[in-house]
Amino acid sequence: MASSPGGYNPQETQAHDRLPRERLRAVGVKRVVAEWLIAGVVLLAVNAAAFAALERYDPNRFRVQVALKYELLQEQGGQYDSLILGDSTPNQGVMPAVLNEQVGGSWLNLATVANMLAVSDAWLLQDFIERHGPPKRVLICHVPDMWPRGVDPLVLSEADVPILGFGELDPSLELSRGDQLQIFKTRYLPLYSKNDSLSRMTIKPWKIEDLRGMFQDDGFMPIAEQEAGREEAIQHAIAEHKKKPFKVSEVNEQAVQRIIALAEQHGIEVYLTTGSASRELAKSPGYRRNFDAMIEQYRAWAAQSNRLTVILPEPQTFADELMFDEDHVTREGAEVWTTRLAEAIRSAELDADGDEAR
Amino acid sequence: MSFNSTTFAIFFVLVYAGYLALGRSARWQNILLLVGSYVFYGWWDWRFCGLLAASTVIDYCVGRAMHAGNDDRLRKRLLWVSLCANLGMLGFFKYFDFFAKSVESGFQTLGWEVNPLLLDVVLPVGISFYTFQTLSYTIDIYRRKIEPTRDFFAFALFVAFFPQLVAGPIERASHLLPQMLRPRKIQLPEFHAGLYLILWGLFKKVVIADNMAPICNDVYQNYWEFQGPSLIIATVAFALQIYCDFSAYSDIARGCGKLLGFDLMVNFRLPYFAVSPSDFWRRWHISLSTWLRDYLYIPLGGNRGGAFNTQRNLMITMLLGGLWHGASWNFVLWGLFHGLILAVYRVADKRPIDAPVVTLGDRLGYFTRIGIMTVLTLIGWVLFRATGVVDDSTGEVVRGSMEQIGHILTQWAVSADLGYARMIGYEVCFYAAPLILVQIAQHRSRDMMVMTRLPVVLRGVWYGLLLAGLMVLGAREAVEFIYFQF
Repeated sequence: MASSPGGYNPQETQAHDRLPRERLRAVGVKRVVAEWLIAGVVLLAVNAAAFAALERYDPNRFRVQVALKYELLQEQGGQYDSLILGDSTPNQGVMPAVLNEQVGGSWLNLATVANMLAVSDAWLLQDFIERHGPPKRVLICHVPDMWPRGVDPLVLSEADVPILGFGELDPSLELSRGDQLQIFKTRYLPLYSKNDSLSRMTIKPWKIEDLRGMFQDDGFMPIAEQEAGREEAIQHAIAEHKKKPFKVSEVNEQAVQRIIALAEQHGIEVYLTTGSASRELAKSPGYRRNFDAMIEQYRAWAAQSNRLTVILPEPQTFADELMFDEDHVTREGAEVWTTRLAEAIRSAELDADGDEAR
Repeated sequence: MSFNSTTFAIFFVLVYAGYLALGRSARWQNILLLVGSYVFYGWWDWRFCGLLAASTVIDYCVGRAMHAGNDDRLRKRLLWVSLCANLGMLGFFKYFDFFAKSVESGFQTLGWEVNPLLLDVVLPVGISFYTFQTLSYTIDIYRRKIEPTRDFFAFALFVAFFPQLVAGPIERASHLLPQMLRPRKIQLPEFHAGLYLILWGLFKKVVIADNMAPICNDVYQNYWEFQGPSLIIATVAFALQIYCDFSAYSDIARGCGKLLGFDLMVNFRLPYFAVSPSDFWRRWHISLSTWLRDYLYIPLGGNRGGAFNTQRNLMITMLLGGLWHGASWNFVLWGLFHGLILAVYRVADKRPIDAPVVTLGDRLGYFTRIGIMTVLTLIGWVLFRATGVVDDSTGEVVRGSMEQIGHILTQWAVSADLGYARMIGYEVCFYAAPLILVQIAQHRSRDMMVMTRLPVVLRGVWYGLLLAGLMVLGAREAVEFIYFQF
């Protein structure tokens, strides 16, 4: 048995006057339970406050962009008869106002981000039809590197779809329990899942921007300035294209088939084209290889239906001063690109009219 | 397995459930904790469990044999066995390469080329902590301050007890071993305090220390690009980082201990409120400083034998204390610096540490002393942190400690662009604010657990905010506690 007869006790330093001591509080079970319950309530309250703050001031542009487009469709969709769908390149590169003027009709930009895949295009189109009736025209723009991507439930959780509703959509997504739990956490436990955004908001609250203010009423997001790290982004994209050959993922194939079916069923003209790209990126052999394969695939889909037309089957490149980064354009670039798209749509429509006349 | 990892949370819940289930048998609880401790230690590298076991077996046997014999020469020989075995392991794993490289550089300065044998072995986590802990056991038996235990499992648990195994507090057998030999009763006040210590410790580690680390690392890694306030703020960030990191480990260790019914010693008592170096060392890493005092400083002669001998003993103790922290010259320098300021204060400042603070003059003097000690502590942290600049791609030190120390200590008064300094200064203040508020409350009340004395509603709100802070502001990847490397 160990003992310390008159031995050293490290705790004796507590005897010093100014040193703080450790004084344990006498507590009862009820108080301990009460304090931890209150802590839980505080945590839930902070979570709710975070949820509300993120709704309005989320500093994550990706999330704001997706949420806003789904809201636009639901709340304003009825005012429009033509849609722009796709990834982030048309989001900031295709101007509805220019299409309204040069093609006619009233266009709404519902383009989101590449990680939402073509699946989101199909869901948005379906939702639009159910709420507001079929649109006349749909323009779909995607960069080549979107097509091989698979489903990321966390990203898709930003779509305005109930957690248990993904399986009822077309194309449907069968999510595992784990995926559903992840989506639940992402949506409803922002304290845990959106901590980066929240910490930015907490540390520098005066720097919170209203990102929704970046979007016009018709869903277009004009960007005036170029991004600082553009050259690195271009080199990164070149390397990625070199590494990853073009291939359409299963879920994207299903999405396109669904879009074709909707177009056939409701008589919608669908124009399929590429996203924008910087000249340097478009020159790279990897990009070119993937771009050519994508256009070949587009043509194969177009062969399945007269409602699907491939337009601008060449890389859409712009002068350096019109590029925001490796594949997004500035507002001025958007005007140039949309004018090209408008001409292509007009020309396709004239061809179609001619064919009908013949 | 780090305290701030999910793995540890699962591990602790499992061990705790088993521990409670074995509630009536202290012996079986000890065996469970012992197995758990070896799993905990082996999680880093199972091969080093052998070292832990070797240290345990040697000191158990030495302790028993020493107690059995009355022959002083035999007792001394047995003590030497324990010292050689434990310090030998420590020296081999921690210091062999350091001394070999230092000899090589020494010869190179004289123009001689030598190629010393380098072992390149991985440093076993926490070896400095458990060797000191187990050494105190044999030394105390030698000094007849304690008697050895017959219960091998209890002794093995004393050496390997997982909450404090890898980063302290370095416990004494006289304090911890009796707790291992008797049945534990988990009392509600201890349980309550334990939960709070774990929560506060996690907050200090994950929210404060891990957010200070990138601020300090950015500046110290590219120190030649910075001057003036940025260097000062980065050093303050390091002071907060190392305090929050290390004291957090102690808090979590003590919290886990309390949940299991053990009382581990308080290792930190507001060190940045120290008024002098000796005050600092009775507040900072108390378990090490008292170990060094009892097993090194006093055996060297302590303050007996005149002023010169006292100063010499102080310098030797602090130098070895510095070296304990790591096999690097900057730790030696840090130890020497603290030895030096201890010696200077001993001569120049005769005021008692705990002199009453009554008048305004006392107050001014008191805060001035804290301010001066803070500056000295920060200079010490520059020496401690300046480990040179390592090229990430090659792992080579491309700029040495001395160059780094020289730049930082000479350039921090140079005026410079305030933009970056303002940015990092704001972040340091933001993250440190809760710590400062709590410490002021602790200092004023002289109660480390003052926050647990708030009214129940405020306490609940405080805990809730700490939990929310952990989720939002906490650095997510489990960054290792700094003191593991020592």
